[in-house]
Amino acid sequence: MAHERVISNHELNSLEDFNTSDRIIETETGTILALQQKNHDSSLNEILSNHNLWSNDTDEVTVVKYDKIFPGADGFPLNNNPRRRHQFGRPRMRGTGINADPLQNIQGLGNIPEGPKVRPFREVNTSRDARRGTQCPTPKFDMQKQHENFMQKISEKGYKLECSQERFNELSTNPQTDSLDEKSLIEAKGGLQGEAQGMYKNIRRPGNKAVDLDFEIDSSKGYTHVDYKTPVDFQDLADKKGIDVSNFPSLQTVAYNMGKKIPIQKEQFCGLTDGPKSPENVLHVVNLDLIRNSNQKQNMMDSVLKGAEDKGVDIAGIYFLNYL
Amino acid sequence: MNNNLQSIIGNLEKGDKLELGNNEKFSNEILLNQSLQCSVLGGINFVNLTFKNIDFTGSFFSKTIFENCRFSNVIFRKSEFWSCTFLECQMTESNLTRAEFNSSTFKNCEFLNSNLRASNFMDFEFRETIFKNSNLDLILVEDVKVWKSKKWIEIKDFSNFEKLLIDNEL
Repeated sequence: MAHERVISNHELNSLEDFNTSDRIIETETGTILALQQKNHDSSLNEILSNHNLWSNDTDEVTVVKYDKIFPGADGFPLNNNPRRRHQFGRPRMRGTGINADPLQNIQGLGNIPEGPKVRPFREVNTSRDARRGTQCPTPKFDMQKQHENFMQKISEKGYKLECSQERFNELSTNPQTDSLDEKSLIEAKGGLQGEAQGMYKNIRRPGNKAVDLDFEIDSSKGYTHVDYKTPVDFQDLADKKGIDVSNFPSLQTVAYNMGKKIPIQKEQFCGLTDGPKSPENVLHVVNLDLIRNSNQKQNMMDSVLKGAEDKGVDIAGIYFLNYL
Repeated sequence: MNNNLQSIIGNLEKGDKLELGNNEKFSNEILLNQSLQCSVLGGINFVNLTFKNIDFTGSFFSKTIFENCRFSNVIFRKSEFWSCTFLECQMTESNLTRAEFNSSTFKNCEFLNSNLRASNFMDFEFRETIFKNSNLDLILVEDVKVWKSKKWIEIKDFSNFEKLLIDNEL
């Protein structure tokens, strides 16, 4: 776990014992700097303690540099005016282009212990969309194993699918954040199974992020986009983890509401650049892979369709996956 | 039961999801820098919690109460909320894109610089809640009510919503 504090330019420049990390902190001036300290110093502990950011189990501290005033790590003023970014030119990237010889015995002084590695500071897009969640940690996956297991599962289900590791990774990448995540991985597995079953071809993530549907597709039935729904089986959680199922809605209720919303969700991104031209171009697939009981699956399908019908719309654009 | 949420999360093994549903109550904690995607929480009561840099993408919340909680850079993207209550909460720089709210309530809440693009509100009540400098493009509302001037006002469309709940004068 990392904590944050704001430091001055002067303090930053004196920080030779810090090493940069992948962690990115952004400010509205466009300067994105993040560092991590290997060993705490007492002054840092004191500052963190003053801000209630210190705990004994913390082994890393993230230090944030801000190139203006220092209102507090989470109190940076907003400024969306791009002309005000990099007022004095782009921030100098310390450490870029510097080649250092490997550490070795110099003049008989013995081996020099390896110091902290310094990587260059990084700049990131500070646009409004890019701001969302960039500081949240990214989950790590063994994508090779995920790919292997998925391809084996598809094969066991009797479907033929050609999907390279690279394509699997691309489809498992959240187009809004450009990073792999759990939710996108679940969508990708459903999306590829749909392709394997011949629902559509050439499934891919949308080129335009503003079209916030799960995938673009090619289809002889006129579908250009597909959105996946993967309901959770609460009864399964109750059985496996002893969770009180009465704290959750019934799966029929979830499914009925899902069906009710699908027609209006089909309209949501119509008319945007590279978006669906009309609601008929949007396919919704309800993936029942997580639902164990086959009777429950059937009930859920009925409820989804009932919800959509009660909205008074054509249910042609709703498919089901793993419904047996 | 009153456990420590941080220790529960800390005890999750790699690949485990946060799944809680036995009427637990968590209070007075600061939760920082966690990826908790696809969590499933039911019957949970969060009181006086600060969530900062937390990723709840694709999570499911049911009968969950957030009371006097602070959310900073929290991702609820594609999450579902069923019969949930947000009471006196503040959400800053957070991502609620495509989140779905069903039969839930925001009371005395404030959204600041948050992104709710394409989120869905169905059978929802807003009481003394305000959105400041937040993105509400493409939101879907159905059976949504706003408590204003001591009476419930039904939201018919987005323009109505904007008039009643959005404060653009930051």
